[in-house]
Amino acid sequence: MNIKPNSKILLLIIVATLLPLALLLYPTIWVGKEKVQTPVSSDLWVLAIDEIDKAWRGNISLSDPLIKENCPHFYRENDDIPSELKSCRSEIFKCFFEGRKTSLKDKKKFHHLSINFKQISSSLEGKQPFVIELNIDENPLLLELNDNCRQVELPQGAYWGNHAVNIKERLWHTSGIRYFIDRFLVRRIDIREWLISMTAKDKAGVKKKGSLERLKNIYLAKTNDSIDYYAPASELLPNEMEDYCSFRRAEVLSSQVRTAITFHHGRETTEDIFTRPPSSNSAPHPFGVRKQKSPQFKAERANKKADADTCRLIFSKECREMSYYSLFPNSMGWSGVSELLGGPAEYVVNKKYPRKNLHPSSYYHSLDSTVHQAGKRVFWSGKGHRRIDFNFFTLPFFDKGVDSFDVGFRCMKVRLNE
Amino acid sequence: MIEIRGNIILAPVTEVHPLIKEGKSFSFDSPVGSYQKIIEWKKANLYSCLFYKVPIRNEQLGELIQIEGVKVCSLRNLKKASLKIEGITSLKIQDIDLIKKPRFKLRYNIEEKEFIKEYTFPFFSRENSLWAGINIYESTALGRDTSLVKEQVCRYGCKEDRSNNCQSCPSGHWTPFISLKCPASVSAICGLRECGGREQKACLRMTALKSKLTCEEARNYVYCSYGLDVNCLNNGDIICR
Repeated sequence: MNIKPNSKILLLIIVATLLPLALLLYPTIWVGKEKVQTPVSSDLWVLAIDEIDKAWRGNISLSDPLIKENCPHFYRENDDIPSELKSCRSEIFKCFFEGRKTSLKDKKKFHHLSINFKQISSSLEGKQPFVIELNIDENPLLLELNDNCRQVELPQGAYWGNHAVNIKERLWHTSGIRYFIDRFLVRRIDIREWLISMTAKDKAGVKKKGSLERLKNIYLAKTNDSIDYYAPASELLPNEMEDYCSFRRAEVLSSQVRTAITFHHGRETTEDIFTRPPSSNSAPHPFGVRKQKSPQFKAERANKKADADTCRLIFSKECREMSYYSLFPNSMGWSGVSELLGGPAEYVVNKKYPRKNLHPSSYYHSLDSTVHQAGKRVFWSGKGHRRIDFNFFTLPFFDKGVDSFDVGFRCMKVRLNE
Repeated sequence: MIEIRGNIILAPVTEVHPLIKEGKSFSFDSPVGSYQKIIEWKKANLYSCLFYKVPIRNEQLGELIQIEGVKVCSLRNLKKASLKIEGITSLKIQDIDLIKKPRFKLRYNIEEKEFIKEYTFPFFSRENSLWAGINIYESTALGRDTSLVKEQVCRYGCKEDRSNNCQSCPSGHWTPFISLKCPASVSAICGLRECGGREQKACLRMTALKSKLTCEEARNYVYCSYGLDVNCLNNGDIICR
């Protein structure tokens, strides 16, 4: 191309002017914009933490497409799981928020919210803290989410405890010791979390605590049939139950505390629990002061069979056809603890009478069975789940025609008052 | 003209002025010249707080002082103030909410202007917290000392000092017991259910409302495993044999 000399000078002037300009703009164009932190209003923080709190309390839909993508084993096409059972679960929380693009609206403006998960390794044995980094418009905030959704504290005071000939010896008092009881039986998903954590520790070279292979084969094996993670874990043996509770810095529920919450406390108000002894006429069920409040009594009176109302209080044999989750939380007593009568039989630790370690009321017994009462105890050898492993003494045994019996359990955390 | 600015304290609040706890709006009028601690919060073992120096009429104007990141939040650290608002003629605390969304408003006057500062502190107390399951993460809280071993005493009921380090027992497990010498208070040793068996301490059923017990009386407060009986030693220990 032939350029005239005048045009050459013009071109040179243009380049000379543009060059310094280009150099000035170079950092912003080529290096890229630096992330700008914009201050977040207090209302926005509260809004964001509210969302996290809601999800942590179990407000998560298991039929969400992100759950299907992140954790297909947790996906449920029709989510009928009660929020209490989904609450305080770090794995589900992660499955729900991983890769989720959330934005919050505050004063007509949209703000970008993201959640990152922090791996915290501590010298603490057992369950690790669950820490997340909440990010709003590039402002980070580290939050720890505590596993305290499904516990309730036993009010301080005097209660009925272990069976003894002398009624005075049945009495016990919390004496300033605090008992935090699991509201529900331990679930399969809880055991899964424990086993995964133990597997990770094995890989890290931490000392193994006995063989968990048996349980891993039940709970972690990948099979075609999807197991119901939210059903009570009923395949464990006593030492495994104790190991799981230790993982949560807790212990298996004692027979004494189980009796305290299954009898109605028998006093006029909850405040009276601290100052007055329990009534020797306490109703042998947790639903009301009077014996007449018992679902068995009511059903007998009304000449009716078990229905949703009675199943909501005692999940007996007749209830097995009904959906367990539609009646959840079932058998909730005055203390807030649920699944107290019916359901699977429950293992408890009895220091005074070691052979009275099973709460027998279960869904293997009909509604009218005498077994559905507070304070009943039978023996479980803990060696297996066959008929031969149980001794019901004079109480009616599990139903005929069944070879293997579910035994559930729950944990309690015991703390000292300062 | 009113200027409203909001502050959110994203840290656990350790102290709030007693008058604020009462929930009713009030003015800081007296004692004149005094420093009133309005609110204090903690972040990684360091404390921050907000003080108000009450004005002396016709003599001295009030001040709002914010101190941050000190070991103890007291007047000793006034020189380390990160924020100081001087010339305040009056200050009122209003719109207090301690339950639903813990917050209050500071309404103060400087010359002719009126200012409103809102403080929101969601991590107020565990029990009343908006979010009972959520805490600000503090890494210093970890690394629990697990130096205790099974059967080691982690709480001495008979001593004046009632503090305990039973959380440092392996897996956090401990067993309560009482002594004949001080049956009204709970002692504890590390270990899960380390009681009731042969030569073990007797298990606790309840503490006594007495200062001393005889061995016979002790039976009403402790128990042993089936087949064993309560025995007492000279040092006040109650064991099972």
